[in-house]
Amino acid sequence: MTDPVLRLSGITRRFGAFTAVKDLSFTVRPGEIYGFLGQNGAGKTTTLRMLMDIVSPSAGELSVLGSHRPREVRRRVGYLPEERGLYKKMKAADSIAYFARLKGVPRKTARERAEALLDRFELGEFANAKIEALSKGMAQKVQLLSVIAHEPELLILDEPFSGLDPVNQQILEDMILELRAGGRTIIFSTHVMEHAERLCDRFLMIAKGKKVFEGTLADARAREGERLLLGTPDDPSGLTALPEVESVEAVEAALFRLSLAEGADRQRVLAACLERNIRVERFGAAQLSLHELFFRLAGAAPDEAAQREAA
Amino acid sequence: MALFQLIAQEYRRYVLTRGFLLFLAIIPISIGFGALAGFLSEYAAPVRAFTVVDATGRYGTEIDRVLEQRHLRRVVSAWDAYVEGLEAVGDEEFDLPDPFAPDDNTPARRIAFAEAGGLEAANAAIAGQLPPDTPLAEEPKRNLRRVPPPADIEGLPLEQAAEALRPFLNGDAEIPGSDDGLFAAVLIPADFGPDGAEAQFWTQNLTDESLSDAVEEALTVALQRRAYEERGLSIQDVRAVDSIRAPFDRFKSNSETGEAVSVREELALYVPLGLAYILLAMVLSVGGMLLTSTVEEKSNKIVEVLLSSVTATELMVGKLIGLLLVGITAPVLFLLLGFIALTAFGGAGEVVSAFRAILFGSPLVPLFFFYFLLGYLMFASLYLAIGAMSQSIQDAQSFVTPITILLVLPLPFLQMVVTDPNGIVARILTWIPIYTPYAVMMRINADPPVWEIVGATLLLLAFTGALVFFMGRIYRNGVLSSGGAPKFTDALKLARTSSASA
Repeated sequence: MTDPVLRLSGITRRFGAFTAVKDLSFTVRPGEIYGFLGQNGAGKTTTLRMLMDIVSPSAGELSVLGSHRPREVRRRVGYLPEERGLYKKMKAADSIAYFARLKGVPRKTARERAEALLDRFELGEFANAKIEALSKGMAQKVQLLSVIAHEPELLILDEPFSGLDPVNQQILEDMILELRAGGRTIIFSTHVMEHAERLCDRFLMIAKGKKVFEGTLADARAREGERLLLGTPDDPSGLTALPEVESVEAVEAALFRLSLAEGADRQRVLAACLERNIRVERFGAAQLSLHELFFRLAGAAPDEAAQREAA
Repeated sequence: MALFQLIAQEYRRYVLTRGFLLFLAIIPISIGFGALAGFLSEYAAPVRAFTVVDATGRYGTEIDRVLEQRHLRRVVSAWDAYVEGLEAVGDEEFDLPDPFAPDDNTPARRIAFAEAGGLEAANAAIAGQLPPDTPLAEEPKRNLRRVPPPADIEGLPLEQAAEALRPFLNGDAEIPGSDDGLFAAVLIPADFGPDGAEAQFWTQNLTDESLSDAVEEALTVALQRRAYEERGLSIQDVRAVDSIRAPFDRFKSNSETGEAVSVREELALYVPLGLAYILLAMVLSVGGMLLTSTVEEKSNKIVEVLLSSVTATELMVGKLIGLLLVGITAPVLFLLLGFIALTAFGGAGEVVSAFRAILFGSPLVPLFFFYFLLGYLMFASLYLAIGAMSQSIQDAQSFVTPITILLVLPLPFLQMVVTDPNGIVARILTWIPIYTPYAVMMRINADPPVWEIVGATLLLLAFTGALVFFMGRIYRNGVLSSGGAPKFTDALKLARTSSASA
């Protein structure tokens, strides 16, 4: 179980003059929930498509479940693409069974699993309803079930939360955790950091096709250095004179965030505040959210969000 | 294994739909409608009353005589159809006296038929040879009836008579003893003749010409007869001369029997034409299904899920085969039903056995499927590629329309190929790959030069192969892309790119 489920090294994919993914390397370990974060157009979908061998890399090497030819292990992988679709005229149970059968599950087993899955996720009564008659949330659930009905070892979900209301998002989160508890490895991409923060053991951030971070949330926070939150009606900008304080930025009125040098002593910062007659109303460690980390690590600016989606 | 799933899926999606089942029902339904229309025109046609206001008093009986002759002609052809139908079904020939045995419906035969006792005697002659309870031939209904003019018209000058008849003709008044108005009125003036005044035919309905034809014929014959008499010619002689017909028959020079053109040979000309039209209809409808199915999968993004399980090539082949099966379902079903029907009821009936021989005894049926396959692959791959490049049916339309036009362009020429199977039009169409299947199917029974057929078929094979190859590339490269409506330059670019993934 020490072999990685997924290993990419130096993967690059070009579409004509446009490089969607550049020299990307990362590994995913068995049983992990691995988040794949990036802006629209950062190269997430292209990377996931390469894992499924729908698009082949221009350069680099990848191995999925120990195979260098992802196509050979296709049946052990489940893939939920970003933009979802089912045949509108097909019944829910038939849809799940059909996609399972394409993955090599025998007819009878496929059928049984489809009905069992629908029952378990409270869609049993819709087994014979056509997809077009289901609500969007139900259809998305059916789609996810159609991706897991062949019991894959590795699940690749591209933006699984998009388009779901908060209730269904919670249901999906529970499903993902349940699948992991069943021993599966799950990779999902998202640009909604809250999900990643709650679910992921480790995550990867990419920007413009390049890796900017890989590791745990704690790793990311550590890399960004320690921060202090200082509440004061006075101006604390003079504190940058201290060797411990690298920068001071205003978060809101009378609230500032101080970036500290590595190994800095917080007591000395507090003492310096008192020395300089800076009234301290609030003083404590500030934890960066993944959302904030994302903006820092990915160097993302809102105006870049309109970048064109790769492929 | 996955390929089989794809094929089955495509097949089920289209065959088990209301639309397709309806389509299957259309042919039997249209046959039923045809039969119903025939039945209605035979039995439900209205009986039309007409009157003759004849100032000369000579022509009424003349008109009756012509109508009677016309009725006799219908009786004889109805009788012949009845006997031939029984013979075809029962695979036997009846022993009937001369005027009752089916033959050409000539004036002489009709006279003999009537003199031998008419339909009643004919029915009596056949009754003994039929299984009990077989219905006998029925006399066709007379649908024209001459009634005397209303009493108050008698003796009026013609203009006033015409005026007085108007309400009857326009449905505003009814003829005594009938609950109907008049269909027509014939007004014959006292000085009617070749050099005199004209007879007038008044009616509201100018489209039904059967009565006006009969009246005109009757008046012409009467005037001619008077002219013969004035010139001292015997009526019998004139009739005898008139009934002379040149003995004439048509022969097919390459026919094996050397006998006159048979029904079978005539059918052999038209059955392939029918099959070519079926091929055309199939290619068009299946092509449309292929297009919608590809565009649906693409716009619904199902294609990405599918591609995570199967390769693009598998997906393409699955769609092509699946819809090919859809396309041949209807012809195979009809051929099978036809074969069963012909076997069950078939017999010596010339038409039936000829039809059977052409359909099942000639190389046409296997050829039909061979050229169907090639014609199908050619157009299907085009539709598939267009679908792969389009985001919506609207996008696809601009590409599909020219292809459809190209496909139906030779239709006006098909008749020329039938009449002259080895003529210049037929030969040109044979060498244009997209028309080869049609042209060859229609020429195959006309002994075309073998080298021409083989050459054109090889060309067709090469052309289809190349088309499938390049359209396959476009499909594989285009099916995951997003963007606007397809452009021709994009198509060229995609066709040149070897493959994003196999």
